[in-house]
Amino acid sequence: MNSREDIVRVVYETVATTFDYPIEQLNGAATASDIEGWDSVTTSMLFLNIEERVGVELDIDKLLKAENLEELATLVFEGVARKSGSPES
Amino acid sequence: MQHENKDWLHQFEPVGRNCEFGFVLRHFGSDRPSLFRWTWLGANDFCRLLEQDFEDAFALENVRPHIDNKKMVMDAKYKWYFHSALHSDDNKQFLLSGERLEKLHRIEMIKVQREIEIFLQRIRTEGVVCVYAAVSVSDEEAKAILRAIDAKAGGPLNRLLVVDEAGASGREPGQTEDIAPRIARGSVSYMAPVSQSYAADFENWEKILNRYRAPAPVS
Repeated sequence: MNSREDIVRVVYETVATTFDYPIEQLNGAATASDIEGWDSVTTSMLFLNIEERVGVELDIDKLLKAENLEELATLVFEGVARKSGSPES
Repeated sequence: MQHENKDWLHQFEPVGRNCEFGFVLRHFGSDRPSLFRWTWLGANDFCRLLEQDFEDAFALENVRPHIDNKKMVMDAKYKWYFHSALHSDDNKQFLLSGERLEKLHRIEMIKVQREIEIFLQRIRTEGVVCVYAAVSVSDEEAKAILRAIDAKAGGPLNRLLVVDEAGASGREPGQTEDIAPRIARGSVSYMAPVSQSYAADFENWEKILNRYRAPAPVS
């Protein structure tokens, strides 16, 4: 489950389930303000759910700086790659 | 009325007592997160928090479920109330427990620490207008708040705007006055109840905040 494609899918699925949002309406440019219920408080629950899905503790400080879903997925992918020791690509 | 240019709002930094000013900023177009925006903190506890350099703030052993709001927590050391993802149930117990609670708290703690750093950087470098809003705030409390901010900022870089309720102050809604160097007071016709902080007196808040609007540049 460590390919970039897998991680992007996991991030999208987790956003969709955390905020009860249609996954088909998500895209890389989507931001928190585009998704009802995603705010500075609920972000924490999203990050917890992502960590549990990917099975590693992520750099939350970095994730907080993600500007959109694409950046968030990239940061999660890089975090998983780093923790699992596989090369980032 | 919605302002077209939101940049002027960046100069304001909420420092308590409750979430009303957070909703005011949102009403006028700013959703920038900040440390005290969605929190409740009394004047004395605000000063104590800064004087003690945020020591152990939001540490898990100090965090309790809020007694009235399942989506808020209290830092028992500083009596600092937060909107938080650490939700609780009817029995005042956190919904999560054990490892999941610790993991979620770790994430919340990182967010709080990040906001502390941003707050300190702003008051040390930007010269902001700190806004403290409560039904009634004494002059001594206001001066103590600014002293605590000055000490943390390393000098007299920032200003304090205290917003209170006209009935308590005797001032007309929308009016402001200077009460000390770098401290001004303004009054709104009412402070929204804590449970309805979104229902603010936006018209008079705007009049008060307008005092700090820079004139438009001449082209």
